[in-house]
Amino acid sequence: MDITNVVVPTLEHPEAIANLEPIAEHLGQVSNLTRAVEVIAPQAKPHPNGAAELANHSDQVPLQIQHLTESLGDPDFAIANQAMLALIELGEQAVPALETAIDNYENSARVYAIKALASIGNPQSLELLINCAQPKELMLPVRRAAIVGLGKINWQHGNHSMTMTNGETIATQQAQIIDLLGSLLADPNWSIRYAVVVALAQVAQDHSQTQFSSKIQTMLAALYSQEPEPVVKTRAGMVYQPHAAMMATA
Amino acid sequence: MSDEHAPSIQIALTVEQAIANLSADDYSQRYYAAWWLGKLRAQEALEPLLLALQTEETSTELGGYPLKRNAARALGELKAPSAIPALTAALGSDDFYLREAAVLAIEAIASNPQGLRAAQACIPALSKLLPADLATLNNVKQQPYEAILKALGRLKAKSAEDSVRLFLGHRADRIRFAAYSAMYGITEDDDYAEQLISQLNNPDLNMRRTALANLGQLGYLAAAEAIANCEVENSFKLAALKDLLNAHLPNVDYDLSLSEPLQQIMLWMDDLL
Repeated sequence: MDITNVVVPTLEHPEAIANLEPIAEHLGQVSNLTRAVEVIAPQAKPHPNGAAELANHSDQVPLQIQHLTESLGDPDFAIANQAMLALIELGEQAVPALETAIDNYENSARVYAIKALASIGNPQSLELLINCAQPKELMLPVRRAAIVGLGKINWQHGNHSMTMTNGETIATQQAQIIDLLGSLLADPNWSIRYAVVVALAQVAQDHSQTQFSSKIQTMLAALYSQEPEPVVKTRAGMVYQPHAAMMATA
Repeated sequence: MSDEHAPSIQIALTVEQAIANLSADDYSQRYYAAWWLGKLRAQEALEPLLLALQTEETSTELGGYPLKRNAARALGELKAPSAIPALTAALGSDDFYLREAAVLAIEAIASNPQGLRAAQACIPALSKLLPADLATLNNVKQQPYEAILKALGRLKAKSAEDSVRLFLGHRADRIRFAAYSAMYGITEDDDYAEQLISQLNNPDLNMRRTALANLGQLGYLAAAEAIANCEVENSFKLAALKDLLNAHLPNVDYDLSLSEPLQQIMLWMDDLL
């Protein structure tokens, strides 16, 4: 039995596994995705062109995704992180497995899973991201990742345009996101408010010509005048002042 | 105020209600009101909180003076320089946790540019809490050394340099790291901060976390990138980078050259969300 699975990470403080440090160090040096996939899922054949190429070998992909998703809960940050990057590269096809990982009770895996989903930005993950952004979600890292993900939905996504032919539906969803972000600007935790500012910066960048833009500026202006935490206030200022906002997104 | 002392059930009181409750008959109401006023950073509560800190109190069954501890913590939140004499007096209490709360409050006041000068008046009282040599360390009353060392660093307590240096060899990691922080604060010698940066690669996760937190509290800008890349949970890195930025953000207005490096740090924080 693998001893690494014995240690249960607590809410935000996964325990250190001293004897895994050499692996972490090793993986840290391995930036090559193929190599990481090989380490994480030795049963699957590594492919010279990485996960994207692996996707063409459709028979291997489900196994690959299963191993990678399991590795998201690895107590070693480096392994979990490499698995997350591989799943992001697999994209679309990894989404169902990632959504299941979020429903599980394995805390650290949930964080990496939501980050991967946020990064893939499939509009069908929207409901899940909205749920995970709410105060009822108890893990702050999950909330932060979900909030940032709300700013990164890929609305031009292929499948989505087929199911959502009506542009108005997208606009409704976008308005829903902005309202949610606006309500989360009053969250008592500074890191949540910071994440909301970052998400709003992203949305503002995508909507510089639409009706959302002035709404976002009004929200940020209100935050800027009341925010007690200097970091959040300054980050809001980077978005709120147009010239600084360009630096922020450069 | 650190969430560490936050009650699990929080009742929203107005400032007036909370100030009135500070003299309620029920001890738990007074205790809660003191914490709540600190959370609200209610400046108008300064006098009543000072009174709560200074009023004679019989120690509770568990020992110590919990109301005074909360009053001291709240005064730290208010960052009022005029609280310094009362906090200095509290350093002589026989309650370890009251002494610790007072030291932390003094450091909080000193972290405010307007409070530093006033807070420096505590240097002799704080120094007296440190032993003259490590041999006597085990024979004297136990002290909140980590907090004391960090406070002396924050106060740039030149006169305490020799006592602080003794703690560079302390067996407990947290106290030793606090000594490095303090020596950096006192001497402004980068070597001490670099020692902490080198601990960001320590194989022990807890040591990495402690070094990270210390560097953030020091506001050591050169550590920002190492903190962002350190193998520690993102929540810890975000908290450390926030502390680091908060040490410099008030200065941006009159030092525009700070603006760009600080924005870079915020972009690193974006990636840690």
